[in-house]
Amino acid sequence: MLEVTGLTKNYGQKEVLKGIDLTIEDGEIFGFLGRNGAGKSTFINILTGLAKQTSGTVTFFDGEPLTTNLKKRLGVLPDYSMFYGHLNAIDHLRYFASISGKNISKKHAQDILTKVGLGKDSKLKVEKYSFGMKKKLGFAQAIVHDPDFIFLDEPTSGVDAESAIVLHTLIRDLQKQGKTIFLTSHNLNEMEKLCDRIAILKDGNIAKIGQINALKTAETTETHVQIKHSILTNTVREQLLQVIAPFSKVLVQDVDWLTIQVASEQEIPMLVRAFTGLQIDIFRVEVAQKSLEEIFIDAEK
Amino acid sequence: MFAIAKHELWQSFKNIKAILIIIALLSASYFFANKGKTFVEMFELSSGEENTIYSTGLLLMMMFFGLLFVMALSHDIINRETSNRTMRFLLSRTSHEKIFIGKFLGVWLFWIICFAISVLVIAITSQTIDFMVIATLICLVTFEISIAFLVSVLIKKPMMSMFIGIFVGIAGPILASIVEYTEAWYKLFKYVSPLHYLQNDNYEMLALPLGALIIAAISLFIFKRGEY
Repeated sequence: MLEVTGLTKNYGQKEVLKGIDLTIEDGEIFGFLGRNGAGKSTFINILTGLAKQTSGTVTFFDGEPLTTNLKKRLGVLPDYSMFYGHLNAIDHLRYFASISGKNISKKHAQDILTKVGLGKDSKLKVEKYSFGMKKKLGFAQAIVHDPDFIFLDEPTSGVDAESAIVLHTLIRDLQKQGKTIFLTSHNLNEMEKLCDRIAILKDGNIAKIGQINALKTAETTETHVQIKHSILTNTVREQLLQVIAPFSKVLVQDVDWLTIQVASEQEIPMLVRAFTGLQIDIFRVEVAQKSLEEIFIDAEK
Repeated sequence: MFAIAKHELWQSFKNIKAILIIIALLSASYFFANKGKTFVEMFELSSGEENTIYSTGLLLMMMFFGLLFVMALSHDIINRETSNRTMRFLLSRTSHEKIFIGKFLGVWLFWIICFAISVLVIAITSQTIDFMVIATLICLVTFEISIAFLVSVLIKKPMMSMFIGIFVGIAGPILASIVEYTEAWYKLFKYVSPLHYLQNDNYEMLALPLGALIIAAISLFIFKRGEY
């Protein structure tokens, strides 16, 4: 478990973090969102010992503060990964693992590199690596020593779509192994796919925090329903619109789609009965909630 | 810490500058060891001085060029990692102290190995080993390494630390010689010069590792204050 209490960080007169309280449970994938310059990387840097907080406390697992010994249980992928250009990927992993107190064989390093998609390039000097390949190597070095808590700062930025899918699968596998993962990303789809909970950082404070579905439900004040139906004659269409008018508002009409706004999910059965009462076939009913993107934009306002 | 020391030691030997420096040291060592007997007869040296002459080449090399050599190899020992951002990978795994001490140990061991090879060359050529010279060299290089670390933590950019390092490496011994033999007011500065503690073949040279410890402690303090 990670517990952050009253964390502040000032750079001179500028307050970057203004009193962050946060608890992350073991085994969670926790997402951290915020616009550029919100303080996400500063926050991770403090948690991982790369920067010092102005005030507040950070404890891991059973209330342990960050010590050199505890660092061996953490894995960190920084937001910007640079490496030793004259070394290859295997040498990097073995060196970093040895600093964390684990001596690994070349085969073990090769296996990890294969998992992140660098199996074929493991013996190439890193100075020849592309940005995406360096990102994958960064991911590999974050997990090489089998840490319990992993910080991933934009793990898939600059990575091709296929490789991103591989890394997503790896993140889920790590969670299944009981690891706790703290993730930042600008890719909201990625956050929705992976995270159990998210927090949105704005102006140095946490603006919103919670499970994504719960945030969507809490943020959604009206319900939009999309219904795919059989093609209607003009007469049947007019009858349908008259029946549903008292409790709904039609937003978009198409040949075989209707997007309808209702006050809540309670009106959805009434909509369905209106269609079936007029013997209109329904092929699909989709309920649209506020997207994570909309929640993020609202939080930024 | 030892992983970092081992890495630093290994990387030091892979450096072309290091190879050139080793060649220079071995050449000086061999030359003086080989010509030692000639110098003994030419200068009518005593038996104590005779033993020392064979190691003089190595000692003179390190006294006048040692700081330049150490700076050339280690001026960017810390700032290279911070400017490349590889320091983040190290600091996320271990402490500032272990990184600093590990790097210091790696660089120090590099020089010890260089001296060991040079002394071996001298011993084979002249059939003598001067342990006092070996001790002097170790004390001197320890002090010089601490100066290199100080430059590396004070100056953030490796290019700048290279220029400053070369300047210090050339000007240092010259200024040390001046303050050591002058009678002007600035003769007080001789007490911060390593040359002063090497004048007599005695335990005054231990002031150098003590000075190195103080300078290293200051460097570590500056290193710990940074954010990477």
